[in-house]
Amino acid sequence: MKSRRAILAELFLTAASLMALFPLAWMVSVSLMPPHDAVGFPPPLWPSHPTLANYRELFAHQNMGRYVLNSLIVASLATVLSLAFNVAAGYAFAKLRFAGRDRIFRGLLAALIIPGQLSMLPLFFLMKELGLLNSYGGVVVPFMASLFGIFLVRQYALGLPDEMLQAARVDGASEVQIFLKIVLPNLRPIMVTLGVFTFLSAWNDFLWPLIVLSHDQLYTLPLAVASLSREHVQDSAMVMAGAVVTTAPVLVLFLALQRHYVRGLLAGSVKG
Amino acid sequence: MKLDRRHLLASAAAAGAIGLTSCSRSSGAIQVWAMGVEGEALGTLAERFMRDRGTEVVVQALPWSSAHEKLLTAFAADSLPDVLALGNTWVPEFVALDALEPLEPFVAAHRIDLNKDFAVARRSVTIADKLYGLPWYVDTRLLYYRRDLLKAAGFDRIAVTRSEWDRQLSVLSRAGHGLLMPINEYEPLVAFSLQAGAPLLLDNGTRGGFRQPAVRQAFAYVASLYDRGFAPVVTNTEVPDIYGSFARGDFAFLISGPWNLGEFAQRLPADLHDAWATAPLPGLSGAGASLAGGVSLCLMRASRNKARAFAVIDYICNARQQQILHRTTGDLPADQMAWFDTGLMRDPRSKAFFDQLMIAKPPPMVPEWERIANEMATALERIVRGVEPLDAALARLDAFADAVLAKRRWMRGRAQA
Amino acid sequence: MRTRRLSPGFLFAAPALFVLTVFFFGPVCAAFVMSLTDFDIYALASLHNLRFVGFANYLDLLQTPLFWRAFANTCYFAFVGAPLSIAVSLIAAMALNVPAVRLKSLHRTALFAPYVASLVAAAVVWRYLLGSGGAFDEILHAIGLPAVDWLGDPRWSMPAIILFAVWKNFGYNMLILLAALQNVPQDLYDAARVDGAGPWMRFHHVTVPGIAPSLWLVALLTTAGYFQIFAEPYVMTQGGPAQSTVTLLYFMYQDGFKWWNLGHASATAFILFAVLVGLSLLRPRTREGVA
Repeated sequence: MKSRRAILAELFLTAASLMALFPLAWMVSVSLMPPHDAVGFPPPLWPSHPTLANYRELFAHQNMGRYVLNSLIVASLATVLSLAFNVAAGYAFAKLRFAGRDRIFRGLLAALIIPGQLSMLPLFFLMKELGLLNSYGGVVVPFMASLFGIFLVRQYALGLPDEMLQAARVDGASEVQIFLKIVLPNLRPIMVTLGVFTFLSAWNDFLWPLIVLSHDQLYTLPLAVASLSREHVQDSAMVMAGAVVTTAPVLVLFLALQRHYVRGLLAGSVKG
Repeated sequence: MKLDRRHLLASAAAAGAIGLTSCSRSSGAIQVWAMGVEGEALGTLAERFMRDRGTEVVVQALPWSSAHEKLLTAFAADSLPDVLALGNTWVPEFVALDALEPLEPFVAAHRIDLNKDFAVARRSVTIADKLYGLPWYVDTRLLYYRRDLLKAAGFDRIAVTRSEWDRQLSVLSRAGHGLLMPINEYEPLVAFSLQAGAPLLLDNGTRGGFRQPAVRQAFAYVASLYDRGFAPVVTNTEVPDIYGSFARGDFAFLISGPWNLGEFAQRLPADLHDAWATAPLPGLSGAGASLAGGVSLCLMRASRNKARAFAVIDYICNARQQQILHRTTGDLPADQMAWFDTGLMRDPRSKAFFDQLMIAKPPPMVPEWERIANEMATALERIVRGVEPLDAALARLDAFADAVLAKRRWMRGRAQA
Repeated sequence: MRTRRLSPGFLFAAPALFVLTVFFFGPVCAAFVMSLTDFDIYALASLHNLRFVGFANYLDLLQTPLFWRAFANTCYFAFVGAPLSIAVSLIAAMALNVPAVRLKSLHRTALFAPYVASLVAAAVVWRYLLGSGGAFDEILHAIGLPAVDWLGDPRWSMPAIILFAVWKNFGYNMLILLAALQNVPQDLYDAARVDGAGPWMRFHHVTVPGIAPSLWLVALLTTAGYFQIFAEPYVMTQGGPAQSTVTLLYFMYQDGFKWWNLGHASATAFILFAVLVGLSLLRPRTREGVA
């Protein structure tokens, strides 16, 4: 016998899930429509004859393969760099003592509310000085070290038992060895979390690549879709196919890693 | 010291990333950027050029709606191409940035006769007596109208003057066939303001001149088109399908540009095929001026292959290629000879554009113009929606223009001192 | 200065701190300096044309109607959108936390999916959903209400963007709040029930205090995030109609990258920053907060 509460909750969740998924499902549906189905505004719900023609057109004539590759490179690079910089720093702020540590950390915490866009204009000129405009490197720079990433890792690393680290030190392990052999394996859930979310934000990032990349050969998927949707207003089916190509990979990635990042995310955020 | 620091920063930034820096600006290829469908049409044109001349040309098409930020950002990033198809109204800005190369020496070397182009197109890209672009295609706004609806209402011919047009509008809008003039588009407003005969900016383009009686009168006239119910107060996003609306007769008049010649022919139902026509904008007495637009091909000062880049420009701009462009995109050639060779002069619908272009005027040639024009539309919207009376809105508009042009005044003052 | 052996802790943190300093804090300081100049396209052409203008950009902004418009739009978005978003997140999280509910992970995945979708891609779909004759019109029609021109009518454009943003973002907070809810001991609820507390009382006296720290953090970060709205209007409405969806960052972007008035744009960004600082001071000081 189910409580009324559970039934209400299930009803709510079912309705909400349908609403959450409907736009995404419809995106897929439209992307499978032959061009003449989708000319009406708005297009119908279902394709009359499902076809992959739009996808073929995207990859054959609209350079989509290149954009997928660009997005993959940018997001992977951002993920690797973010892990390299933030995990070490997050661990240091949690478990290692150094002069000014707490003061610096409080400063970083306060800086969390600085809108990232504040740095954007001067950062553009800095990128120019470094010759990083119009390059993958320029796109990933803002992801290298992030306040949020350091914060996330530190929260998680606080939970590592000190005795474990102390025991290793007594055994004569160097700090680097401890970090590589003991700390990293134990931080794996939070690394997955940080990695997945960095990948997602780099994959979906729009404003910064829009500014940094002038040449369409380097466009990431969101830029390509935005530009498609402005240039091919009439081909809504093709634009939707572009939207599907942009969304599907990260959605699959998130589904696959769900078990891991949810744990990390929760552990990192609820201690208070 | 500085070098060291930069070096350090660079290696920090790299962290393995720099190796992936791509975008090879391959030495020999001529980079060309163009906006919209012309950008795509240029792709095929470039292939022909490569075949004929053996120079590699790389074309990138930019969407119009984000083109301005793209171009300025590319300038700031030193990554402009060799050749840029630039909207004529943006030329003053890129001249102020010193990004464009004057073309006289190249024009002389290639023996190009500039008089073949519409004078207004050439004038739009001549600043301080220097030519900064070769006119490619031209553009102006005029009146599209439903001849059948006009006839049904008892009018045998389209109005030439505003007072005639007022009569037609009042009869037709009462029958539910008004004028579509989206309130967020500044072009019709600018066109009617240019008819005032007074300069829109004063003191060498350093102050707003919107409170001059003639200009004020133009604003009042355009606002009255909405107030009298001739044109609905809508933005262009509210009319997603203008072709369907025009076919249904939701409106009988539309102020628009040449691209709709092709679109109307293609998208209107067959039985309306002969039902629509074009005419110059009605003026105070006789046909009125409109605003001249268009796109010119400009040579970037930073280009390292200027001579070969200009050869590409020359190729794109010659009358034959302009004809081909017209056939693929419907763009109106800047070269008047191309009009006679294509049949554009025989079709009354395009002939109206020729007539309009002969009396069209360029908008004020200052870099700040587009911002001021956008603000003109905003001012009009405030007037029409009753947020502000006409004179207050114009005073605000002048204040806006003066503020936007302040830097220009300072620079002129300094140059004179 | 005596050379000292650097502690390992510092060495671990140093690379990230260095990168943050060079690529974040440095540019932020530079942006402040920039906001005190009249950096524009003329200065872009030659730094000879750059003037130091003190706080003129700030004063000028305060007299710019569009700035205030953007400010008001941003507040509208943040103060309506953020609470709505948090409420939806909280309700969804509470529903997911009801013990007997089936298919929890399926629902959780479905509700989280919009957060993962690319904003640009999602906006493409939503433009159609909100367009005339789209799904929203169908729904209004089905319940007997007149159609609304969501993206064309200045009164409805912001609600439309808020709906879109809530749909897009609530999943993340839902996960955070769900975790917080799971940490509230079940016996507290049982005890409350024994004392005869109804659902509302239990929510008020057990749930809310139990998740208060997380809720505050979520509220602060969400509101701050909603103040920084840019991409939604950029891809959905481009600020229109009638500038009803021009937000502070959209205004800054237009000013900065469309017209290259960097001085002006930086000043706008700093005003937004000041607002966010003010906002963060609203947080109760009673606990260590998130640290």
